[in-house]
Amino acid sequence: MSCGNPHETSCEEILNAMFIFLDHEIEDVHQYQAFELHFQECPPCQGTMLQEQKALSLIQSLLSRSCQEVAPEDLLNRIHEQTQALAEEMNSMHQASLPIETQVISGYTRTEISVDGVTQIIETSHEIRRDFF
Amino acid sequence: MGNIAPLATVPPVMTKSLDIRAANSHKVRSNSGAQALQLAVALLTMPTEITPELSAELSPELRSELTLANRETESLAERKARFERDAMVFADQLYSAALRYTKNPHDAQDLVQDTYAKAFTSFHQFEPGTNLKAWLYRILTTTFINSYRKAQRQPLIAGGELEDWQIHDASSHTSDQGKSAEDVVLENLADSDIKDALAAMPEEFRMAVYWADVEGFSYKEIAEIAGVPTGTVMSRLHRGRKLLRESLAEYGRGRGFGKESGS
Repeated sequence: MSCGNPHETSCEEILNAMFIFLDHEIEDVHQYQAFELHFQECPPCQGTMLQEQKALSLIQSLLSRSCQEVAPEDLLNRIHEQTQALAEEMNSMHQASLPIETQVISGYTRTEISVDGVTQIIETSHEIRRDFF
Repeated sequence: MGNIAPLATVPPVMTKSLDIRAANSHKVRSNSGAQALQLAVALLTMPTEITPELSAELSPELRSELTLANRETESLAERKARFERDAMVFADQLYSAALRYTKNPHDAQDLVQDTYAKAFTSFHQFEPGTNLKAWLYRILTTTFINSYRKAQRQPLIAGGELEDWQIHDASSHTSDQGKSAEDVVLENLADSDIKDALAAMPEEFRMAVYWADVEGFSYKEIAEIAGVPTGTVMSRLHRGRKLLRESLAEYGRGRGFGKESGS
């Protein structure tokens, strides 16, 4: 497939990386220029490139034409319902994980002694914690 | 930037909303005093969300920080609305891709539904401004690999694929520039033949071709979706296209196209 003339970049190199060039994935500007220069100098490689380009765009248009399925309506409805249900679930989980406000009532002790000193009531309270959700 | 003074004259309602933002502001890191000031001004002048105008004025780094801060204050209802607006538009495309994976409508629908469930529950992790479609496809792919493929028990083809793309098969091309007989044959194939030919290909090749030639993703994007190195994407894509071309030519011969034109 070579024209027989010497090139800065060999035909083999160009042909090997041809599809990368056709996919517009040659990022290095010097490499890109090497391709362009080679195609100007080498008609056989340019011919192959144009042919490959045509074949690629044909495959791409055939595939795009064929693979255009539309998601069924009931699938979309199910996804909407699912999203709604998930949002509610996440919301309730969020509520449950909210910091709990705790009210602490310190413990106390009360002692009552009757006038005659016979009856004594001693009341002791431990710390009371009340959680507010 | 001497206009920080209005803080003192902010009405009470505004101050309240500022407090909420201040609570989040510890998450916003700034590298310099100038950035901090820029951020302070941005937060002060921010109404309820970051407007595109405001966002455009900020450095990209600060913009993503602010977006992150904004996303963390986003309510679930807001997130759900954003999800339905931004992600649901890809339903058809996700369904098409799911059909390529599962090869049947029932499993494809389940796969798409599962994908949307996972996407919604981790939507807060998606970075706005990046490629949402590729992000959804990545979820679709991992969901398929983790749940459906195990059930389907598909043989995987591996080994030897890396060198293959480097070998150029020059003998298969002619120098004919016009519309070749092969092209005519291919153009006349039914959509179902093309889909069948694609479906018959090994999964890695099939999906590489699908991402590149239907969705138009770059090698790098495909690498991210498939979770493989770019070199692997290139080899799969190159080999996949070759396989597909051969397979379609085979279908064409089977249908008897190219001998009689059209029918």
